[in-house]
Amino acid sequence: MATLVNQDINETRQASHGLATAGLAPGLIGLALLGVAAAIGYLAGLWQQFAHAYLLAVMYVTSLGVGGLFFVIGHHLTGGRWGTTVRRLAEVTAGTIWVSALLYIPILVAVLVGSDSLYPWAGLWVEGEFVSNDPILRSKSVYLEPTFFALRTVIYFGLWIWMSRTMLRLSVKQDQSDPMQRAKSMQWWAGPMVLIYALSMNFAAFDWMMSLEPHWFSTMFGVYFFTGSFGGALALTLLIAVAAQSRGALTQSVTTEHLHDLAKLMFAFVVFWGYIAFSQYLLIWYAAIPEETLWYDIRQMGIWPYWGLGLVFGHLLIPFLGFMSRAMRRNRSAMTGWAAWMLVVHWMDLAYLVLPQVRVESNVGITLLLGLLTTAGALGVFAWAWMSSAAGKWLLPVQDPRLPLALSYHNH
Amino acid sequence: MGLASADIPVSYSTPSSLERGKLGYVPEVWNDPPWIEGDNDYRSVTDKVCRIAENPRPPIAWWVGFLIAASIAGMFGALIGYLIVTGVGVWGNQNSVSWGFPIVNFVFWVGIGHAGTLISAILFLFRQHWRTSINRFAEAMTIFAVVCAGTFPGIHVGRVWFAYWLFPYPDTRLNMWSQFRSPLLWDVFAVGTYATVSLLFWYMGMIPDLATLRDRAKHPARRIAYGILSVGWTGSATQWRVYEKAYGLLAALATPLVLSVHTIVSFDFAVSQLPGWHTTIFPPYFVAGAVFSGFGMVLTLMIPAREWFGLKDIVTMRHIDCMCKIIIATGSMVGFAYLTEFFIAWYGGNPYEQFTFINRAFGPTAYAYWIMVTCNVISPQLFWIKAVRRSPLLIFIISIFVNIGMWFERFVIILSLERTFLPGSWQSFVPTWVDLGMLVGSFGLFFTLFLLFCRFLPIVAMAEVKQVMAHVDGLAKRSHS
Amino acid sequence: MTETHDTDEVIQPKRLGLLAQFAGPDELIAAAEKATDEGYRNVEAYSPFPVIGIDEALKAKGTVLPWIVFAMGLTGCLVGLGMQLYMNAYEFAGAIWGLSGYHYMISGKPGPWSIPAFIPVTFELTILLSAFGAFFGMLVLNKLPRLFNALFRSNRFADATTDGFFLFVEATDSKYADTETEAFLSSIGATGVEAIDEPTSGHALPNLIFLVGAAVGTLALLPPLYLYYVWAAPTSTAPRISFFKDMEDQAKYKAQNTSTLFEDGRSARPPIPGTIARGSGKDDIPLYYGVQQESDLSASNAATPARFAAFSGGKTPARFVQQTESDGSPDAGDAAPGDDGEGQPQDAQPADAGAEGEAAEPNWVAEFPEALKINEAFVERGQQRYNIHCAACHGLAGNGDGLVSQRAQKVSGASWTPPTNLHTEAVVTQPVGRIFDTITNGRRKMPGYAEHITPKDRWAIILYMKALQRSQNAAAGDVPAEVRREQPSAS
Repeated sequence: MATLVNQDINETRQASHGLATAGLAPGLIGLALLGVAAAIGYLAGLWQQFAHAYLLAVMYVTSLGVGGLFFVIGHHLTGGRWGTTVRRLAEVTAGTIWVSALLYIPILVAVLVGSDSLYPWAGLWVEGEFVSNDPILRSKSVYLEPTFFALRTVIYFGLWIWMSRTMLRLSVKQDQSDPMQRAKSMQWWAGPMVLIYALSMNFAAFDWMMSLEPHWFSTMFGVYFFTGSFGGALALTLLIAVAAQSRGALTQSVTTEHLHDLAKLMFAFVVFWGYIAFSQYLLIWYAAIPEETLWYDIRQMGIWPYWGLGLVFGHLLIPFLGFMSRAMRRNRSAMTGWAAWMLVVHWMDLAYLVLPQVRVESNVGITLLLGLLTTAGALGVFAWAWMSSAAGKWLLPVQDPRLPLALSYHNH
Repeated sequence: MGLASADIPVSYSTPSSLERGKLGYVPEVWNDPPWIEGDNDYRSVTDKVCRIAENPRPPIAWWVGFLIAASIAGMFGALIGYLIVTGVGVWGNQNSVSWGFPIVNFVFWVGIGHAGTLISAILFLFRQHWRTSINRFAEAMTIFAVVCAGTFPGIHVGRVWFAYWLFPYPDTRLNMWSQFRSPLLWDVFAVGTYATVSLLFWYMGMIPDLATLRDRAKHPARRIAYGILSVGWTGSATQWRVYEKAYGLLAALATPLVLSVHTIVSFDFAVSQLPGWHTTIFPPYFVAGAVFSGFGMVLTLMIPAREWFGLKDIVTMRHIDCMCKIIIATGSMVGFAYLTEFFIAWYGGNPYEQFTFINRAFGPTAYAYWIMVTCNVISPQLFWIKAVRRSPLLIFIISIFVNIGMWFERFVIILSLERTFLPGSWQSFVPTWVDLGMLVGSFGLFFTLFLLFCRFLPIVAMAEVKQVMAHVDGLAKRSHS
Repeated sequence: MTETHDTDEVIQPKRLGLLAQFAGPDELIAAAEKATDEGYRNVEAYSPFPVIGIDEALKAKGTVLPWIVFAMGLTGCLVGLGMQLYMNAYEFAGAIWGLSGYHYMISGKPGPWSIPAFIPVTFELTILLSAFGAFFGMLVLNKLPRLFNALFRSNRFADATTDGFFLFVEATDSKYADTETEAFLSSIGATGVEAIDEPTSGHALPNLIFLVGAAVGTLALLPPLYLYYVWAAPTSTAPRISFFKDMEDQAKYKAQNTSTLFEDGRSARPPIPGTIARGSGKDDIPLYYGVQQESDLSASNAATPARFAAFSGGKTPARFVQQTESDGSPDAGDAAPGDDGEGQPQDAQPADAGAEGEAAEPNWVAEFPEALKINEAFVERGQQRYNIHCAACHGLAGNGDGLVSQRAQKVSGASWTPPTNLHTEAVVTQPVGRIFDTITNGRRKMPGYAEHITPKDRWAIILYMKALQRSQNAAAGDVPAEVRREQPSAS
């Protein structure tokens, strides 16, 4: 058991500075894809479809970033040990939230100029006046007001960027000096941060996706978004770790044990997602109150019921049976496959939240295609942000006081 | 190999050489203090724990406590008899508030039980080693809390001798079956499963320790009793291997189970269309609240118990500190749910929903709401201060607040029934003396069972504590002989 | 519980193996590793807690327990789901002992499509059976309970549950030899080695215990048997003793009882002066019944079938008994079989009310009763009531195309008989009294609305209906000149 600790280091532990340049390629391709999607949307008169597809893409990369942020905060909060070896990867992921913020700016502009291509309530504001007679919408017009909405969006992103920057900054400083003191300071910050995180995540989900259907509401929605996001971020962390290892990095420090633990946590969130999704559905289905069922009603039309069933199987039952077995969770290549699977179904999940809200008669296939294009584009930009942020950094918090414990850690 | 999450025990080999240029080298290693304090070895831990159950003359405090608790439990029994003979009219339940104290007490006690399972199962899966010192204690609490909880729906059916109607059976008179769409029937299955699995889990965890008591027993009667209870456990590697697997699997099963139980309890309310009851966040919010209240109760019981039974080395302030942190976390989650509910009540634009929440906070029963908020959301925040987490007295007081607050949370939910859609049917709820007597009586039953447990069974999971001593604290001490 | 050898002969007890004690868990692992490396196979380690690494050292195989649990969980899942579908979503005609399912069609969630509501119980049963699998599987795989074990005879071994770490080499091992093995165990660091023999003495339970037990058990059966005998064939004429008053004995007055509460000593009170009994006070026959005179009433009332027969007692399931033709209704043409409001018309003939030959038509009033004031307010009242009560089926314009009908047509297609079009000749020419009777008592699938609509409102509806019928045959000239708009020149 103890042999691992005494090994000499053969692995790459520091990302090369060239990573930033290497990241330009996916970044530029990503931007190009976003441009292409926008052009298709504009020229083919599919502007509303494009708007929803774009929101989906932005939500996808945002969810990965905030999921990573929760991994970091949660790790410090629980005094985690095994997570130390992959903590830096999650920190860098969380550090990309500013890109999501930039990508969100066009949506914010659209809301501010009163375009209803995305949020129907935004179009109801004409020169500072709310013009609908719908009593329900009138009652919440104070909240669904473009300037207030923009302010809140800025606050959410501001808080997340501040939190992820703080954690990344402290962690990078820890590589150079005072590791013990920095570890304690990160642990201290994790407390208040988790409170801020919970509130901002909750309301961000309400604002950005729940308000696509302004009549509808569900208290569970924020938790639902969080659950999927954290699951996605775990899958991404696993994939990044495997990818780094295939390039000779972290080959010794991230062992089967750590991947196994990521897999376990991923499994837990597969189940937890199912729990949250089922509870929300059951309560709305059972009570059958029209203002709540309308959201699911939209999702009972066209391809969406099948999509929903796809989620039940793809996001819950298949992965549940798939990596229920311990042997599977310790199988590195199989878990790589499952992580990729989870990222795909996480996208499907967000698509289920966003795309059915397109309010014009249209071909779902085209909307999905636009969704894929924009998501690929946003992921390209995300990849660039990740790589340029990682460039030159240690991929392991090499001086962290808990690192020896993490390295010598064993599941039995 | 193997299915399911029985991945459990884990070890950290303490790195012996941390040279520069080696893989695990760090300038300073994080050293957690050992979980088991003092100069303890395997035998002294065994002695300390077994002494409590072996002592022929329990401390006078035990007798006093037991007599008080048993007489209150006796009163509970008498009240139940009175209820059965007279009918449910002896309660304050009425047309509007048709679910009065009985459901409040039921949900309260089920919630208390949850911390036990959480400590045994979820913390086990997360390899939180601090659970080992308190898990037996907490599991016992679960069982007794579920007993108390199960009493209320049992007597709430009015004619208790028809309680078997709760279960599906072929009925030749009506040709009807139980209605499986009803959350009340889900409750029967959920609470039944929960009680059964908790009992199995608790008992299985005790088998090795019962074997210890058997091997130490002097009196033949004790030897036979513990011998039968420990089913012939020898502690062979084969037995441990299967046992560990089974324990891990039970933990993996109990974790979703504990979530499901309070979720289903929350469905009792949330599947309805009543304002203040029908909200989608109820399931996780109820679970968080249950864990919160359960940890409150564990602290309430643990702080005096470690004092009286001399277990301070085994249940250390570090354990207490961890529990305090869980209290902050779950208390904040509960506060988060209150806030979300309030916001969505406004955002949803439903006037009835809005009225219910305004009424809760500023209506005639606002006192209940603010007791709930103060106890559940504000008082646990004191645990952010390290000095508070170090003071057993303050922790004890706050844990009492948590218990009170969580009882009031359920009471607030029930009080929504006072003022629903139709102002003509508004009615104020006034508990009767039987209601209050039964609430107090259920505590009597709980403490009676608990004190009996402390007297006769191993209250700390010795085998697990020893494993943590050997493999986590790195104190693999030699045995005496 | 112990084996006994009741013999005075000194026999050589069977050697079971050698028990070696070690200082701690690490020493135990090291020793186990050496023993298995040496070639010993039947080696078992004993420790007060699970020692991590001992399984590898003993070269032990894994356990099949997870598969048992998985199989049990799957069983629980299928049993749970199957049970609920069987009990709540299907019925099996002719099943005995109440074993037929019961198809609940409630809250808009019929039959097997209530799967979401069946998930919680399915889940609980999955967990319950899996937990049984884990617990009882553990016992079975460990061959427990087994209260006696030869090792328990060793005083040294009592420490195995406190702080003793032991290695036991069984005599059945092919490499086992008393002295060599003992030497080997000492050489790998044992602090003590002890031979374990099969026990030759012990305690047996005295036979008397069994005798006494059997006698007590037999006697204990007698009281319940006697109680059953008394219960099954009661001879007493006294009322049954019931411990719990199951609403048999209620604090209330029964008919014709006396009471001390009132001066006249009667428990039943006479009606307060001026009380009008339900159903009385309907002296205006045309207004309340739609017929000319009282003598017509018997015919009119007979047209209404008794919709609900009494519950048939005994063991027959309590169901609504269907109306049959043999009831001798004079209006049998209307009260066709299956005409019990359950929406299963036997014949899909077009429904035009009153077209069929009627045996004995009462004298329906043809004019509105005199008690009514026919004015605009009355028509508007009728319109409002019509839109509330009738339009859902008959349509806002009376064409028989209400939303209910449209939906039913979509769902059931041709098997659905649409509601009557109020503009057909048969309806237009019907006497108003007959229409009144239809609203009051219902016709074919249309239920009676007597409980919902007051007699005056029924007349108001008829008045509005007349207005609707009129509107379908209106000419431009019917519109008053002052509200008439200029006709487009083209027409």
